[in-house]
Amino acid sequence: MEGSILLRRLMLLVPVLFGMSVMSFLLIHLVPGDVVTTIAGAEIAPDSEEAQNIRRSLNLDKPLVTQYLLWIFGVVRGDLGYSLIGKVSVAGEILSHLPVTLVLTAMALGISVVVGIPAGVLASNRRGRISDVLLRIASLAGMAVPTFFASVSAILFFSLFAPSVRLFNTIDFGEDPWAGITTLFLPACILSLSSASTIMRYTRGAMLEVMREQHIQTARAKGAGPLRILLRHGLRSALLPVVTASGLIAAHLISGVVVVEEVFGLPGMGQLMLSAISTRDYTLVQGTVLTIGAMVVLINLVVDLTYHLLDPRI
Amino acid sequence: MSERSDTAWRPELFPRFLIRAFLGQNVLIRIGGVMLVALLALALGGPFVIPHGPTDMVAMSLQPPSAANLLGTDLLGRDVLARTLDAARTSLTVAFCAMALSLMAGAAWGMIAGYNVGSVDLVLMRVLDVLQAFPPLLLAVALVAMLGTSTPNLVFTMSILFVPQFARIARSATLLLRRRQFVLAAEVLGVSPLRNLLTHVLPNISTPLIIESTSVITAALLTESALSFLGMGIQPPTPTWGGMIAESTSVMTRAPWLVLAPGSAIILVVLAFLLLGDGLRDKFDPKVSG
Repeated sequence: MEGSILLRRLMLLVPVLFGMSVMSFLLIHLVPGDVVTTIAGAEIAPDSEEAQNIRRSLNLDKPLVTQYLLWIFGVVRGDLGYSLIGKVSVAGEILSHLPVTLVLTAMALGISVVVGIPAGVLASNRRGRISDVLLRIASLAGMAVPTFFASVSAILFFSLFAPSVRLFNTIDFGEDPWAGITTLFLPACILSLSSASTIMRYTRGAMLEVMREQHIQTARAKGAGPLRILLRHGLRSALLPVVTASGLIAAHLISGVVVVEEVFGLPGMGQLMLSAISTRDYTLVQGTVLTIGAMVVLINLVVDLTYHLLDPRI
Repeated sequence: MSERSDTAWRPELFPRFLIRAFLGQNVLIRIGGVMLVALLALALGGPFVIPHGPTDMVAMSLQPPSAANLLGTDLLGRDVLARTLDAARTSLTVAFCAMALSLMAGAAWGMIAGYNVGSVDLVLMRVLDVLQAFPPLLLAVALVAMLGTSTPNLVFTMSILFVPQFARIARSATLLLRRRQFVLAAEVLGVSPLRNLLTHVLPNISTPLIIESTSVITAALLTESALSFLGMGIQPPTPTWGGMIAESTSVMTRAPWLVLAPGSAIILVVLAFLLLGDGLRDKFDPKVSG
């Protein structure tokens, strides 16, 4: 891979990351009324010493642009400020919750790709036949089931029919990584339901289109085997639209993370954000939103670069 | 879209294709349409048939399904069927309002971007990139948490989420129309950009936008139910599918119907819209058809 491609991709990230930081920063300013009374309670007078202190600690007494610059320079140095409630470092909280979310997301993405792409190829190859129809129905069902309902149903199923299975374990990757991964397996499967279906649909559509093209005819005429035509000539070019859609797929998958972590009680970023919201810990909310957003952007970058590695034409 | 001669364009703001589609041969549209009409009839007609209101405590709590309460009763002895159908009306109304708002905003956004190729377009599209880079549910949760949980805030937040989808479609369609002669002719004749967009561009981009609105409405339904499940959507005592599931997880092994009834309702409604959308896409965009 050429360095210039890497550089160009990184340059493209700058406006998106800048916009994300502005949006996360502005979140706290959406709180209606005076933030100070929301944080400290209504009994505090808006111009009392204590209110002024809170305002000063959050830099709320400075102009908006200064506030943003102070905040963003901290973010660049890895300093996301201190949480309003626990008075601990936001970056530290995020670091301790990040591993679960990263492993969960990676597992779910892996499952979606491993299930979705072969299913799409199979469905396109058997177009109109019973296996195609069944796969299409399954993919529609996968898209129609809300993640929270799938999670709740799975827990209901296991507690009714297999009560011996322990679904809720503590996760400590430092101590026992394998136990952590097995605990995350069911949540990851549930999380991948809708993304696997989406990937399958994209793959199927792209394959149907590609297999009509001339280079497939050429390969056939050359006497290449059917499997080779399907995978090497067909799937390789069909993957482009799938990769193009991967940004949205990743974003939707991480939406599900918030729900799955909440239902299964997993100590990840989603749970951190929801608990921060329920305690009105705005700086923590800000930090988690920015981190998860940046995570999606990085996943896209990795997918993009992998694609360049696979196909140097683009 | 087929190539029409530039003098023969007709404004088609009210899409005749929808009516033709329902009468046509497309199986997906038929199944989806019939499901949707049946579900709507249930949701709207239900209250006239079921003697209980959604918040009336009518029986002992956690009664299994019976002739009096077809889907049983919940923790507070309320009729689950009445609640499920009431939630259908709420969810569909909220999802439809959010979809309509973002359709209007997205169409305007996309048309302005597509009409003003250059720096305006660039800035408008970068804003959409940022919006789409956030996981939608995360953005919804954060916005609702900051604005405060209320139904208007929920609708407003969701309408922001779906602007990018509409705007991208409106923009690419506008870019194509921008080069067509009837649009250029109007511009040369001194028609103002606003008028040109409304009378010449909008009618011709309505079909892809309406097709997209089916997928946006499924996303809106799923987002609303997830938010209500997390306690950040529509607030009790108004029944919602997500809220009904959330409040019964602690007793669901004793009373599975409490979870299964609203869950199946969501799946059926979303499925109906997905089928309808797939069918419309097959019909009007043969490129991606199966």
